[in-house]
Amino acid sequence: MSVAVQLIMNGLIIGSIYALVATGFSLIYNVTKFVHFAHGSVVAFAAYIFYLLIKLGLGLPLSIILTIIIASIFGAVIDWIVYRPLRKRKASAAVLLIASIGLMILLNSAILAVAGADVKSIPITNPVFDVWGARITQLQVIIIAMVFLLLIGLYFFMKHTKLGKAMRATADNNAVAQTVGINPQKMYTYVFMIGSGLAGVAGILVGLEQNLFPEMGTSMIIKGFTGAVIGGMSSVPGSVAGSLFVGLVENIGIWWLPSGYKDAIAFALLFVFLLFKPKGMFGGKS
Amino acid sequence: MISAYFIHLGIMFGMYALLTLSLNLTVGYTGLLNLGHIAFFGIGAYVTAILSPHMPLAISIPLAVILAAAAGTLLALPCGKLRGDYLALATLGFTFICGSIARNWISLTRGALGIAGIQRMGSNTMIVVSLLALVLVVYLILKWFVSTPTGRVLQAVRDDEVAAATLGKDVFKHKILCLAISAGIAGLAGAFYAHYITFIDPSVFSINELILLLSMLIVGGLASLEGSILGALILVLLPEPLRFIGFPSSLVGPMRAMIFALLLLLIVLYKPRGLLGKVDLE
Amino acid sequence: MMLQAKNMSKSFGGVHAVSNCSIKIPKGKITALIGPNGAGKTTLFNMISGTLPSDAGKVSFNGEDITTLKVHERARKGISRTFQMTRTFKNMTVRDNLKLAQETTDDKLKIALSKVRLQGFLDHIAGELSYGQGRLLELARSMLLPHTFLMLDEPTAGVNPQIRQEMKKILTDLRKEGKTVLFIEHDMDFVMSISDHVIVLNEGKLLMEGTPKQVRSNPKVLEAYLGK
Repeated sequence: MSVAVQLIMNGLIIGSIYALVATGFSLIYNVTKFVHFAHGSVVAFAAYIFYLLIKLGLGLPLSIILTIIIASIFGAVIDWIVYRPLRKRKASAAVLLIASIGLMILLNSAILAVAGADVKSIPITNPVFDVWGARITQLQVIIIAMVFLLLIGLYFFMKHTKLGKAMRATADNNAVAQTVGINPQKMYTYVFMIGSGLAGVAGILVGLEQNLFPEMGTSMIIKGFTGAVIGGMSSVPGSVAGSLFVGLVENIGIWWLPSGYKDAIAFALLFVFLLFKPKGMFGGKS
Repeated sequence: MISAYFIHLGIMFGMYALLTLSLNLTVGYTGLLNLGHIAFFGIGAYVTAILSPHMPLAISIPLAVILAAAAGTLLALPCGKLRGDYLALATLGFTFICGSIARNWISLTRGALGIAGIQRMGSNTMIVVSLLALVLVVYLILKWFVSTPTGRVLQAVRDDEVAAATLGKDVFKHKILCLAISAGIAGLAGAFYAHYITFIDPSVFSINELILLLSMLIVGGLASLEGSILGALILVLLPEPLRFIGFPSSLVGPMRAMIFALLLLLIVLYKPRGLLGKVDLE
Repeated sequence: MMLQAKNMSKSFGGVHAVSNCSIKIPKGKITALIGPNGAGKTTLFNMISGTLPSDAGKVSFNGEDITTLKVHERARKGISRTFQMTRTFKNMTVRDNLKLAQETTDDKLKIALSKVRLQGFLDHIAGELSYGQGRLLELARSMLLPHTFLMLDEPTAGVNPQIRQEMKKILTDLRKEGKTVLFIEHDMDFVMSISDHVIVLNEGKLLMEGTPKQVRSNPKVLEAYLGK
């Protein structure tokens, strides 16, 4: 019984990190209408920056703040240099996807070249608690709480602030939004900043909870993207639900399959959903 | 020594040329953004690696080609239903699934350890000569094929599959045909690879290899067979100077990948038709 | 009857584009399908050729039920069509565009092109043609496809007046060859001068049908076009 609780808990914990990745990704997708596959690499980049800052002795709070800011700016810069020129040329979503995959490889390889292939970890004190017969660490509690708060904050931001509403207008109907004076490029820049900022938080959490390795960007985007597809790309709350689902399936799945199959489970889910239910469980348009 | 180096380059070029030519058939001529192509290569390599201890190469290699072609027809389902970026992502997922199976089905593939001691096909000279001859043959056959009525239908499917259907063309059947042929060629390249390097592991399914292939395709240009050969040549030769500059060996791998990724980005940004392309990437 | 569409219906997210519409197309005649914008004409076309699945209804062609047949299967039965938004194969030559309809010699292709005054354009890339030339290419292509029934969606749109006159001859020649023609049009002069039969659609439903004279003088038709 406690094994089941443990698996579910593990699933929800990692699922919430996926949810954070998926949310940033889904936000960007809904406003810019293309798949920013390099989003996972921004998560990895943030994780490695965080590791570096901690190593430099900046301490936890400062490192966290700086990492989020750097990730945020980094995302906006990527959009400015790579995607914006392509958008100007009216490139299709497929071309933008290809560019984003190239970008992902570039970033992953750069991380590998600079930081090396060895797995790194960030040491922190992390007391363990016993809940319903399962073990949970302080960090894991913080992860769930942080993600929960961030998503609530995001919800209020999108619903009740001027910028949030402007972004939603652009996501809903760019052409019409422009007629009421909303500058699309400004929206794209903002959404990349916010989405990449969320990626920054995800990078910090993943860096603390798991390990850092150069390929982690690919892994993150696969999980996040799968969560978004399952939940419905056009629905940000759907992406959250989908990501929790991915986390759960992964952890419960390894009850029967060797743990190496975790990734394969996510890919298989992705493949099946793209093929048979591309709108996801909750998405409206596909 | 030096000639061994050039022979090795020649073999690498031959393999990538086969891969790029066949990928062009799918992307450039039929308009299917299939990112699973590298999986066909890997399947061909693994099939012959697993079977060749038990049977002559004259049987294991054709079997590798047939099974790769069969995997190609499997992807016809997403190619029938999905378009553009969704198709790219689904087929990318297929590549990841294959990589994952190669890593985890240890009893069959020996997992991350890979399969070593694969039977060699022949001497290096024999391999490079037969491979380059094969490239020439495949090039000529494809050149003829795209000028036939069937080749025309593939291009019509690329340009407007609804219109093609209203002209009585069975679009789905043609997609299956295209995928089977291009996957078979990729599988053949994979078989050559296995019996030359004599070792394969799940890294044949890596996304880095996919980016390399895409770069070759786009640099050379869509719907240009000559472009594919040129693209393969350029990208096989381009990172070679790295070898002589004296980077530490741990850096060479990621630097190669960065060069290819950067090249892909630059081409997509500034010269999307590539060198000889007749069609825009869409 | 060449073609019968019975009880055809199609909705797009709450909008009833076509509602329980039944039409009959007489064999060997030229029939015009008219109606104000949004009447459902192109939607009906698409359901007949199969490029749009219907929500309900049956289509029979030459007495055979083709409702479950795919687009390419219906085309092979002898249904040829053009589109409202021109669909040429823009990366392919004019020659290849036409050869997809019929594998034949350059000379025969030139003859087909001469009907639309494009006989010198065999080697041109279809995507480099002007809008009007592209529409004419599509028309020539649709006529080259072996067919007994030709559906044209707004054939005169974007085409200059001189060629418009020549199109009348193209269609009446087809009728002489025993082909059945159904076309959507907004050019009333064109409709009235060559149609044997006119079907009027409004708001997804059949409003009336009859000879050009009957339709022209019908007050309900005027009302539909001018608004109440």
